[in-house]
Amino acid sequence: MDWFDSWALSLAVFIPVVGALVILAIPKAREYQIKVVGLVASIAALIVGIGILSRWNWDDGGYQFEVNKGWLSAIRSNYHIALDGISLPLFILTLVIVVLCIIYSWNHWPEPRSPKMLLFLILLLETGMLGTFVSLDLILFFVFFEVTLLPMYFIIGIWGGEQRIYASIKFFLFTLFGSAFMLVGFLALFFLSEPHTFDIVELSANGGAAAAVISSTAGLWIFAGLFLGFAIKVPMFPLHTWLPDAHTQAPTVGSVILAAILLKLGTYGFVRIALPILPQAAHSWAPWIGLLAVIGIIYGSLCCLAQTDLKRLIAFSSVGHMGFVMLGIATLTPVGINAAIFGMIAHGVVTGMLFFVAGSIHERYHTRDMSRLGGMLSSIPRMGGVFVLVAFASLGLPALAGFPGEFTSMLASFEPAGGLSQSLFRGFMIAAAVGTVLTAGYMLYMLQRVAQGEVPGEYAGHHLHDIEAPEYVSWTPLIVLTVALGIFPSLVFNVTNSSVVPMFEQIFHHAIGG
Amino acid sequence: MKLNLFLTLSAFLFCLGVYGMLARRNAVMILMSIELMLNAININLVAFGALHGNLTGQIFAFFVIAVAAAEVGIGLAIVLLIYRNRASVNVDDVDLMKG
Amino acid sequence: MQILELFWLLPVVNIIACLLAFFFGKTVSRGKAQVWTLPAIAFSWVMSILGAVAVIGDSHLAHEGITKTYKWFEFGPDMFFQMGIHIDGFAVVMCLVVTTISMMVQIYSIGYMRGEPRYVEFYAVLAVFTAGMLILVTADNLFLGIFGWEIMGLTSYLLIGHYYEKRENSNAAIKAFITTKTGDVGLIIGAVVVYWATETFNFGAVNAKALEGEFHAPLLLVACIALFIGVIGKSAQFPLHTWLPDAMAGPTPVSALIHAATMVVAGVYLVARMWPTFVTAMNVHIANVNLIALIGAITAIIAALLALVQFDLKKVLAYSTVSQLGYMIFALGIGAWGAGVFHLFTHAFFKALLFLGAGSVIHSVHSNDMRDMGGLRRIMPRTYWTWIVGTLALCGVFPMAGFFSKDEILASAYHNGYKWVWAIGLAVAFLTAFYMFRATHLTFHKNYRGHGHPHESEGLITGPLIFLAIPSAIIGFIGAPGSFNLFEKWATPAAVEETIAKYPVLHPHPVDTTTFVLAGISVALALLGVLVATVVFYWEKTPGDIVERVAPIRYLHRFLANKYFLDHLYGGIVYGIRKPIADACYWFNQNVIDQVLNLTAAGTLELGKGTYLFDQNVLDGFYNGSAVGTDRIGGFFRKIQTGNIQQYAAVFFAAMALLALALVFAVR
Repeated sequence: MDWFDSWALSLAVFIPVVGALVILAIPKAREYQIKVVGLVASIAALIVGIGILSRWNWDDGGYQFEVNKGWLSAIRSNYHIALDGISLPLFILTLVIVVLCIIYSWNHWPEPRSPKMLLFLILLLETGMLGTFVSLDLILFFVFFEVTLLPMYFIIGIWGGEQRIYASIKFFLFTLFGSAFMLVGFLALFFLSEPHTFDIVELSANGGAAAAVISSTAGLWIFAGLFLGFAIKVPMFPLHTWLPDAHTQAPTVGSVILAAILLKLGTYGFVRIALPILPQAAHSWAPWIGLLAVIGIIYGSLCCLAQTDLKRLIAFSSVGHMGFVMLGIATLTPVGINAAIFGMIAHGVVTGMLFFVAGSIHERYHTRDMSRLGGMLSSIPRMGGVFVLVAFASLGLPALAGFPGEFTSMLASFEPAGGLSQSLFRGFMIAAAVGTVLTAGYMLYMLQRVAQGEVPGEYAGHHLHDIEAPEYVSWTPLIVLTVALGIFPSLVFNVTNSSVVPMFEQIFHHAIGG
Repeated sequence: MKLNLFLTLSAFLFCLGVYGMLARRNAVMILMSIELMLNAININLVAFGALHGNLTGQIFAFFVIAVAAAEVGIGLAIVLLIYRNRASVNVDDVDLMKG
Repeated sequence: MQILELFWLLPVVNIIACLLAFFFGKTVSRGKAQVWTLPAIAFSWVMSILGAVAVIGDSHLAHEGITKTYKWFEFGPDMFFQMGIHIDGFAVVMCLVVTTISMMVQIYSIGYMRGEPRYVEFYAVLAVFTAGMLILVTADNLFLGIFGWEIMGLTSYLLIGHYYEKRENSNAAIKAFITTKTGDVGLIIGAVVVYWATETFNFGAVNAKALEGEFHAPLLLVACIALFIGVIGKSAQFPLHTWLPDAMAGPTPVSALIHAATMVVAGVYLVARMWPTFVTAMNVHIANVNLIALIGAITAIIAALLALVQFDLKKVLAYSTVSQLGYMIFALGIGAWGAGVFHLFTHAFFKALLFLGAGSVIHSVHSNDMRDMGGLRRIMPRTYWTWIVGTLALCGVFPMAGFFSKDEILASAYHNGYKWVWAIGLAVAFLTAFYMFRATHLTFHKNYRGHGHPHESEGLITGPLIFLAIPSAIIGFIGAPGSFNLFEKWATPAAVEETIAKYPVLHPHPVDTTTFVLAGISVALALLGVLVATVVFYWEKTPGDIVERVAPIRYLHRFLANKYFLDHLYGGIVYGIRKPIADACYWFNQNVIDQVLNLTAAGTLELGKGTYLFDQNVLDGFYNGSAVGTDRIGGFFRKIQTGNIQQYAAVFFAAMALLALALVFAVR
């Protein structure tokens, strides 16, 4: 199975793009074949992913399935890919979510119906996302990071709602703005490191030894550049305003992929690149990141309370939830990073699911205006029940996926890394805890208006379909994950912790001295 | 002394080209003016080549002739297409690139 | 021993029952969801009984308990979270209470909820509620306890909002969830602090560290205050108590189970379980004022006053529950662990009985309002007599269950130096008897005032009433003071005993003349309350007579009556003194405390709207503005681009000419 160990990652990453090319070759009219090819390509990638899981060494916290081949020798950029415990959960989540999105789309094609183009873009997007999670080379990372941008731009811009053009351009410009600074940061890392390298592993080895020659001022500036690139993607307050528009306008699968995976590219970038390579700068910036994270929690939740549009509410809730993730990262402790990765996975599963349901609600009621919805538990009880379950998962109810990440993130911020102000982070913790009440507030407000109450008069006579077959198939895994992650957080924590702890020993003990 | 004559001729031809380029409205005439300017340069090149006693200037001139041929080929094709579409080769009527 | 190790099954079977009911309730069992949940709860009940037998037979086991843990998840060898059960006498007692009440409520609901919407879901949620409570009481650590705690919050929300078609019901559900969740901020912060201060969530270890002084003072106090805020929310203590009366929007069996007997005592349970920690943090053994006692006492008296002026039968019981929870809390706050927990135990039975009795009445007359009742004694004899048993137990009349527990609390308050608490407790005892007999007279005595034709409820409803009446009447004897106190012998965990042994003030007081005098006083006050209520609400011949005969009361009455004369229905001495206070209290409760909560909610909503406006206009306006600005600048420069190639050529030649000139001059 040696060939598998060296080829698995490349296969998983590039099978979708091959599928996308095959789809391009099929005439538009043969819709069924197009759908089958799309599904088969994504499932094939998932099968490779399952193969990776089956051959995964759970005790090893280092990189596995590593491939390091020359690529752009002129700029010393290599095709260096691998997975470790930090990226594995996100990698698998991506594979799963894309399959589920394609299944969900089976008979839910958004207007203008063009399965060929949509599937092509989704598969291209998948390659971009998977590639970002496996890249260990800054240039490779950047390329994949940018590959995700264009398909999503088109998905929003073509299949979106009424203001799709505005939303898609806003999404594109914000992300591109951040990426430009990120690229400058990458180049600065290359030119200031000794020896010059784009390799993430080399740059972060031994407490960022290769990067240690960078002066602390330069480090601060480089970190700020990386911060802009990643924080826009997360998105962190005050760079979040593209998100509600993008989510509200995007078609259902677009929203799901955006919420479940694309946002994680930003937080993943912090964990994989910004922190290990520039630990001192991270240490200096951590209080500010924590502050913005906490503002995001409170601010996002408050904005949710003012929403009337269902999808917009869920979109703003992402700002709050990602705040918990960033708070965990800002603590610069192993527990905090574990919490952050758990939070990413949980948010991906739960918010992805919320967007699925919101999309199905929109399809049935033809509106997302919460003042016109209601009585879902009476009219379509199963979907209503699923909605209630996921909403509670989202508000952080123990035994569901949202809680472990939030709790451990608060746990971590009580004892941040040495040198960070304890009282400041404890204040953050209290503010975050208050944020959970606000979260509960808007989630229940949403349930009251959507799930509870009487069925509004305008739908009284209509027969609304309860959950249909593609929805069952695509939602069941997410619901099972929602419950399983809540009851057995070790599913994620065991994997992540095995890599987070060595990472910290390598980086922060060297850099900050314990 | 001979050189001066060549240079004067070249400068005269070049100015003629510039005038044609700026003053004529007919696209074909503008292309002709460009040819005129290119050939003025060619005279320069050949004259300086003779002065230095090597072939560099003449080789350059050949290049310019080749490029000029290509240029006029494409240019005339564009003009022809414009004429087909608009029944006019007046450059004042063609401002599609107006911002 | 072996049986206790199997107690992890208790929550698990109920969760399985919930899933079965949920998925197969409508199909396989054709709507009769109880066929899935009842066997589970019956099994749990039998297990609890067997556990109790095991504990009674082995006092070492009762004190030390058994622990079974399983490593849940970890962040390295010295930081791990466990899922585990710790079963000692106390846990068994709690399991017994929870399973007994749950079982009775499930049987009762077969009759009560028949034909109601969402019957299957109702049973499924009841089962998961029971599981949540069992998780809390069997958990060996705070982190797992939070799971049970919050699962109960969810089920409470779902059941209060059972009739969610009405906006006011879903509002009540939201209010209950948000208010308790506000308290949970404290719980979460407390848990975090406890973890970092002791490096464990394990109840036993935390208690031990607190007792040994390894849990250092500032963090210990912060942790306990934070945890106590969680308790205030969950156990409906002042000032977060206002959700509980609103929670009566749920079906009555739910009120009996969740909002009287089990979930609301979760806070009391937590304080009792971590009692050594709380005692150390709050200096219960030194000061005669502490946060726990103060909050408990305030809650007890305020809620008792509020119960006086209610006309909704369920709200009387709801405020009564709040008041009794205050009793339990201050019992723990004055150092009377055994008495507080015993009151929790007895209260669960008689308050569940009263709620179910109220449900039987409401089911029969189709109204919650006591003004539509009356005279039901003859029509509903079984409901009536069981209600009387429950009422007497609540009032603390010998030999009913409530007498022993309440009297023990008051005696401990007296002995432990908390005389002011004792005085408040006595006042509450009087008020309790008064409002309960007011309710009894209005509901069951005199003549029927409502419409329709009430009838005695069916056996499925009265059966649980009779079953619960038995412990309400006699179970107090197992907690009789002194050496007879078997309850404390079986239920006191080792850590609590150590605490008591460590602080002399908390030592059990001797049974002597004082004990009987104190008991006499409290019973006399309770009987006085019964008498006054009977005079006012049954004989109804008081006002003029008593007031005119006793001079001080006459003046007082005139003074008060002139001010508060307006809408009084029942004048008289008690009216004159109590009603205005209770009214003022109620006014304060509804218009100040509750309004503060509501205004906070409304204010938050407005703040949210303001934030959103800021977001859309200022922040997003800035980004859009930068886009528009770029567009404008581009618009200015595009004018240069005319599309006229000759103009371009002219500029080009001009520029070239200038460059050539510059070159010439530069070379020169």
